[in-house]
Amino acid sequence: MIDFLPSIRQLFAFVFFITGIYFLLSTAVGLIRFPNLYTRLHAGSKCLMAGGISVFMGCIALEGISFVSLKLIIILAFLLITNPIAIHVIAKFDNNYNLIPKVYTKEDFEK
Amino acid sequence: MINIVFYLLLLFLIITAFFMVFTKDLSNSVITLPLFGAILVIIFVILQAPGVALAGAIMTAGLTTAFFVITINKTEY
Amino acid sequence: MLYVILAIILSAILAFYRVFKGPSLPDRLVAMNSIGVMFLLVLVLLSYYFERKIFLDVALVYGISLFINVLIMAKYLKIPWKG
Repeated sequence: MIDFLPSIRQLFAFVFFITGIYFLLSTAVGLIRFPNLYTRLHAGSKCLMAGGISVFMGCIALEGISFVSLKLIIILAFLLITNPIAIHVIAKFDNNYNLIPKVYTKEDFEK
Repeated sequence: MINIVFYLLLLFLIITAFFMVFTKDLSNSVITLPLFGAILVIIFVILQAPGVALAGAIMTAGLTTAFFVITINKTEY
Repeated sequence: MLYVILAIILSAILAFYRVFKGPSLPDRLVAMNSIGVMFLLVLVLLSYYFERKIFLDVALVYGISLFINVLIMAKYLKIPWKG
């Protein structure tokens, strides 16, 4: 019974790592292909933090309960607190630039 | 397998350094500087040197960029 | 483990296109923040690959340094038409 435990743990780690790779690659594609600045902020905050949480949860599932796991949880909590603050500060910094996003009306879709 | 990661990081380091030197605006150059420091930190970690990596993470990626940004803010270019 | 590191570094190289060819300056800031967080994940995964837990301290210090960098850049970068 105790022999099944590392294999189940590795399977959970693989699932978390594949989810993290998917979210991080979609972050890069979103940063390249989004047309506007305020949409790039979405790709830089939400998608990136989803990938980060997935990779950290994979590492925690691979480690188990120990002191290293607590250090990983501390880094994850620090990242969860500081990255929205950084994105919010960048969004306030945009206010100086008068970047008005282009508004699509109904005639543009009918063309 | 670790060799592929190492050579990819070296290529990325060269691209970052050339962009940092040959760009026109000074603000673009100072934004690219912490990326250069971060790639250098990862290369030191791969080469098994955690002390140098800690010093690089504080100095190259942290304090040097902050001093450059404040200095560019004080001057006129 | 190493394929995850390779995929994250490939994603960082793809995101460097926005630093290289951003129309305005906050675009480059957002891309720089994203690449920094990706490199922090690479540092954490390399600590598991080499099985030396001292490398997690490097990741923690680099995270603090990245946050301070973004705050100082957003406050003190020069806006060209405000003198």
